[in-house]
Amino acid sequence: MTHKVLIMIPAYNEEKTVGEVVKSTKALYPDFEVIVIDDGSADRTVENAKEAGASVVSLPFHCGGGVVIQVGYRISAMHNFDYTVKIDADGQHKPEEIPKLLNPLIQGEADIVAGSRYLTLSNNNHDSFVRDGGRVFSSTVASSLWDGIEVTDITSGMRAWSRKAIQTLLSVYTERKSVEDSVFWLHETFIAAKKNLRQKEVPIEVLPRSHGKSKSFSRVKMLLYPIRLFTTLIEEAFS
Amino acid sequence: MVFERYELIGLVFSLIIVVFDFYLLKERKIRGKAFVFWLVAATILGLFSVVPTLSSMVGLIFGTQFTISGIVAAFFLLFVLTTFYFHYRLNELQSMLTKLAMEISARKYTGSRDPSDLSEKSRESNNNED
Repeated sequence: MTHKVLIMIPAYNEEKTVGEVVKSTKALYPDFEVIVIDDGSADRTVENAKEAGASVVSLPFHCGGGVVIQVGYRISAMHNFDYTVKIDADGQHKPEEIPKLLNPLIQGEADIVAGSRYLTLSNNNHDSFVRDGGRVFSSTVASSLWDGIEVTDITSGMRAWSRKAIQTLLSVYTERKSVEDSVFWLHETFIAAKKNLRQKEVPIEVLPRSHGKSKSFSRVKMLLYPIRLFTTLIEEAFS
Repeated sequence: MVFERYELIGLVFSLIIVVFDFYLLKERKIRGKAFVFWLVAATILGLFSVVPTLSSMVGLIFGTQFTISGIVAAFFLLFVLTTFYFHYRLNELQSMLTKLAMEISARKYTGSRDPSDLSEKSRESNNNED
């Protein structure tokens, strides 16, 4: 049985790496649909992604990471994909590890699978002390305070969803008036737990960035992450 | 603990902001970032109201030692409340605009190879094989 799989690659000013990520992904999975979702890039991200052979969907202006993911969810739901995978356009995720995320979904073990850099002992997975500390602290607090959450890398950007998970999450996001983007994964982890979606982590290797700086997690943002964790807990506890 | 009239006004004012802040968060009409900003702002306002010596310290640091009249204080509090309201309205409009951008972008995708077609073809070929 052939599964319809969507691989979404959110990108914002990643002209130097997006082409290579698309090429290597398409070479490994010619039957999967690869879409680059451009978050209003000002450089040649769109052109390079198209040249590499990806379908490209562009947002009219820079909206933030969480919004881009939700565009991917909508596309996945509208076109009835069985499974949806997300990898980063900066080349930090290895496309050859995608089956690790897909297998638990196909075997029915989970509805959402996230890659965790803290489940392996690879040296590549080491980040700055502040970022590692922020991630571990937030993951530990979230796992301790909320039933149904057991995570080690709550900010992981390499994830996969079943169709059921996409539809459930999309219905929640559609109902909500505000669109949160900076702590998107944190919110999603809580929402998934509340909606009884089974979440699983698998070990992955996260490569160091070859170009530029991380746009999602600067050191200041990681320092403020515990505060956002607190507000997210309040938000999700209220609703 | 007995509060002076001005201290009480400041304290009530900061409490109003905190209550509205939590209400808007609960109703998801404000983003988490904006919630944190106003929670911090209201806490600072409350602190300055309860501990008047803080105002004197700021005056000493910046060299702006003058007595704040009731009118100035009232206008300042009104200014803070107006900013809070407009920040919330901006948040609401930003969310609406973002949702519209999301919907338009998602609908622009027609599929390089529509998976629905693929499944139809697969089903047809499977039927033929049967």
